[in-house]
Amino acid sequence: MKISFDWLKRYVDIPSSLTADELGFKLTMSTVEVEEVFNLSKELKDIVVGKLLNVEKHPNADKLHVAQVNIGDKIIQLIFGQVVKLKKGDRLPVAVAPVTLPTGLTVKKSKIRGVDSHGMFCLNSELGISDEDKCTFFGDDVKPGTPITKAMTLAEGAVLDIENKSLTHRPDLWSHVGIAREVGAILGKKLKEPTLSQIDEGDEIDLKIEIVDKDACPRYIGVAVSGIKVAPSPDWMQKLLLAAGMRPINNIVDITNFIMLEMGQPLHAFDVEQVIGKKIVVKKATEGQIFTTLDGQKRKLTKDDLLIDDSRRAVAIAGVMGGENSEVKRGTKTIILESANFDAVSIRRTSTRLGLRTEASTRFEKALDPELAEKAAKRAVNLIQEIIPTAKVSSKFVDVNYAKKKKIIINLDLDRLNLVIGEEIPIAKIKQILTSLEFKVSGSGKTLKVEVPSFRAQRDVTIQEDLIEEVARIYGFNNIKVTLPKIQIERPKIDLEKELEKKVKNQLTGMGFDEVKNYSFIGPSQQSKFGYKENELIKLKSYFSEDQSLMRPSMVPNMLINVENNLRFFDDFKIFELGTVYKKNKLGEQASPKTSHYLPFQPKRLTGMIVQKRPQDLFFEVKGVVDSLMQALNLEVNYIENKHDWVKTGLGLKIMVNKKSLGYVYIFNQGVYSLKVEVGIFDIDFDQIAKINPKTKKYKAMPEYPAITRDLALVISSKVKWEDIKSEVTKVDKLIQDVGFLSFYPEKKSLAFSITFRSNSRTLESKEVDQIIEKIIQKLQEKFNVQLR
Amino acid sequence: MDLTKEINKIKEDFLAEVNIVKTSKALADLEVKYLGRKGEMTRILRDLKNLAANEKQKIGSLANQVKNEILSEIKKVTAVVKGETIEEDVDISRPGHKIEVGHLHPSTQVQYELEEIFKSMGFMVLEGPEIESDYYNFESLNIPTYHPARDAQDTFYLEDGNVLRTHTSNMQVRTMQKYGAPVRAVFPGRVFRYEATDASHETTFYQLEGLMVGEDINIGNLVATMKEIFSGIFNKEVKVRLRPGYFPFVEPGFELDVECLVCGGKGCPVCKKTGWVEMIGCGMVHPEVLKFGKVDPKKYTGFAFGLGMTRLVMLKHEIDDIRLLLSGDLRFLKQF
Repeated sequence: MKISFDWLKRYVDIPSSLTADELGFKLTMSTVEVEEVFNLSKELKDIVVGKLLNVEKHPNADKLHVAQVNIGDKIIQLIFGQVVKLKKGDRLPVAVAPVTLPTGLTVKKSKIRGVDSHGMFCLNSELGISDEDKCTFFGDDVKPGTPITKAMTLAEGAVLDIENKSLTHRPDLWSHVGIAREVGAILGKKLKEPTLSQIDEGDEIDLKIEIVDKDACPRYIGVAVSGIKVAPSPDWMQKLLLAAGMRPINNIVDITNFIMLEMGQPLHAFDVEQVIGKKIVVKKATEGQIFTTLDGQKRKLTKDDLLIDDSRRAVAIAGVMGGENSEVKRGTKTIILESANFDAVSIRRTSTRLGLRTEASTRFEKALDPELAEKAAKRAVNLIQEIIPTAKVSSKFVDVNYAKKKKIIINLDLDRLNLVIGEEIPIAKIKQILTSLEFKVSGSGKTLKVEVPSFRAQRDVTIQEDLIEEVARIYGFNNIKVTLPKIQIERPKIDLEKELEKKVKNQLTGMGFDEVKNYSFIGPSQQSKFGYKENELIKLKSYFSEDQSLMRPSMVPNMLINVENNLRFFDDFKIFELGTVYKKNKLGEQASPKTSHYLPFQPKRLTGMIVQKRPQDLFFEVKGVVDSLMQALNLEVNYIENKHDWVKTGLGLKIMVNKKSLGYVYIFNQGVYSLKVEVGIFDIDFDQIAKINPKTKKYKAMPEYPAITRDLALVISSKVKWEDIKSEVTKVDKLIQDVGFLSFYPEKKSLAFSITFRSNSRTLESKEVDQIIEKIIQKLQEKFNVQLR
Repeated sequence: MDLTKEINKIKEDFLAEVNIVKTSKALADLEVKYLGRKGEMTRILRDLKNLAANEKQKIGSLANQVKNEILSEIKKVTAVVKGETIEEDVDISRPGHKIEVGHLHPSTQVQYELEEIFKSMGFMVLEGPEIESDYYNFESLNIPTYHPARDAQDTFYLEDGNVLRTHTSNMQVRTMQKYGAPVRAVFPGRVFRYEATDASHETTFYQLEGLMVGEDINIGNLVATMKEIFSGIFNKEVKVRLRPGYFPFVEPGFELDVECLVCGGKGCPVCKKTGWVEMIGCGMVHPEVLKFGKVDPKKYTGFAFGLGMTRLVMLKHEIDDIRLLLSGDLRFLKQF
């Protein structure tokens, strides 16, 4: 929201020594966030009206032109493009080099394709006047060289741009009077609200108002004003409106906008000729009803939307936007002025659903004070009569009021206030601050009775803590004494899963894996490629792109995209991700203590991928990573074969701990998703690892007697598995302590392994080992039909 | 011969001999001659035990000193002699053999740093569900349906009626319900906003929420704790300031700024010339929120704060495009 510094000064005395920047800072520190303070007319003071004398084509560029421009005291040459069509004699804004525009653009003397250019024709958007790429043209009566600030009506003075989000809870601050009240409290000055004069009611028009839905519309004030002459509004008003970012339209619309920006109450004016039966009915729309708003859009309504009807049809969507059918036009003679109060939730629901955010709806949805409607109606009639002397009230001042006066009295416990703030604030100071913000304070001692003014009582201030905030912020948050909390020492509860996460990540980076993080989303094309059924996945209701419309059930799909992208720059790499996946058909945590609903199951997974330019034993590389990782975590795993669509035939294992599946290790099946390379994958259920409590490692005494190691090389059939050979060999004799794999050459079907023999009670002799070896060979020949190499 | 003289003579002899040594073999022989089992110094040291007590001390200390001198001389000469045996010159300016190690994601690194600081201050570190109910993400945080405050948080709604959490504040009430009061905890994690992405906007980013509830917790405590934490993060004393901020789940609510570390408060592009950088939203926990957490607001007060971790990562490493963080691009990730 934009607040004009000059406008503000109408309602509070601001010392001339205080600049707009300084005031902006004070507001930021005590009330709302002032994002920027700027002064458009000051920044545009060097822009002048130029008359286009002659145009020629640029000799070296098809789309450029060379112009001779009269800027009053001299003629300059400049180059321009083709955004707006220009002709000889046009008078328009010129930036004469060197100059900097409010938008930050600096215009310098330069050569453009070899031709000198000493300035620039300026579009409204380039000047910061509006967002439009249009040009303002001046009439023949405007002399070249006139500053544009004189030649056209522009915002004057400094403007404070306030961050709207910081106003969400303060309906009273959506106006100059509201901000002025805060300025008054901060500076210790009194607020001067606009004075309201008596309205002389008329009876030419019998205006009838009926509120059908009293919850959605607690108050509706209507009054007819005749003798209207629609014309531009006075210059002073246009300048203030422009400063506040509002485009002047005509006196009636401008007055309603002016009061909205002044007091915060949105108003609406209907042309009386279009209000059939001179009757206003406030009621809900029928389901599917179509209504055309004054922006020309057809809107489809529901039975929850509140409408303003005349005796036959709708004329406005209440609190959001008026209708095309009843707009004030050039010939309008008599208007019906609406100043109403609408329910915040109802307005918000309608404007959200229609995607129609207006200045009016933005204010109503913050919960406005019903008493404001009366003040604003009177102010509007006063202003209309001031600006259009022929105007005359031609109906009764009809006020249908079902609003219950909200009287909130809060007992403010000063001990509590001092406890929360952390230091004692003198009672006199507390009273002064609250009074300056128009709270009525009574009582003394430890508890004050504080009555909340109606403009703060709608939703904003309801409890003691709200008052504590009022006192603290005007007192100055940064004047509060800063002390560290006193606490009792206690042992912090350590989350073992978090510790494990750290350990795993450190292990993997130690093994050369880079950590990636991906979006939690996948798209339908991934869904079908990876073979997920539609009802397996959690869907987003709203999304920006289809690729991000489903919650990932696995990290593999997105990580394969990482692989694909990185292949452009890297030949060999290893990546991992530890993140959440989302399972639709399994229950997670409780959704709320009130219901027995549960959130979807959201386990963590640890997934890694290895890519090699020349894959060599890729499968065993990945399996080795899992083995090392499990060893580091002190978990004993074994593997069983695993088949799956994602798994390249014969190259997949399931990782098992205590007969429970912990995850998978496999080579990815290119049939599912075609990549230029083979990818080795491990995919582990991290929650499951965290649940297993590994045994504490126990020290074993170093062996007392030496071991004897023998290597064996066998030719085996390709169907024989290492695991079987190993277990068979181990069984042969108690002296066999370890059987270790050495190598396997598929071409020759040659398996080499080593056997370690050791006794705990004596030094072994070579002879006895030879005998065991014999037995082993014999056993293996029987069982697996192997041959010694 | 006087033992003192004898020792000095051994030393001189040794120095004379060691100066002409050219090979490591000769050096080893020399070592044996003086310090070996039957070496000259060894003999002297062995015979010390036969001396009178006062002599023993004096001679012993001299003998040991000389022995050490011989040792260190041998060491020095060893290096010289060995150098001669290298057959070619090695260019040791060549790079060392690097062991290929991986890289933690920059967000992870910052998260770990923060967690360590909070843990050292006695905060628990907890995580929570990313798909969250309307109840924990909004309602229990004093944000009813159709409250304009929902505007500030563009929300991804799921077809099942749940939401992707818009902030890690969803853990406030969960934590109070589980652990009661007093309680101190932080909640780092992934959050989501329904927002079009560009260099400074993302649908997915990381936050760290904190909560401290106890008896007599006040605004001054909040500021002091934040100051302490940011001093920890930036590893030096920082200045902080509070200004009003609106979050429905705190009352009073604040924005906390930290004095710009780039310019030291003088004003620069990082702080948009204000001298201050907005770091966190915070405030005193709203009594309604305490009630939702089954904590008695008459007995307890508390503060909560929400820190944009992703923002901190970007500030720290001067990353100018937020989208890089979830790009999976190793050219980016390998830099950290």
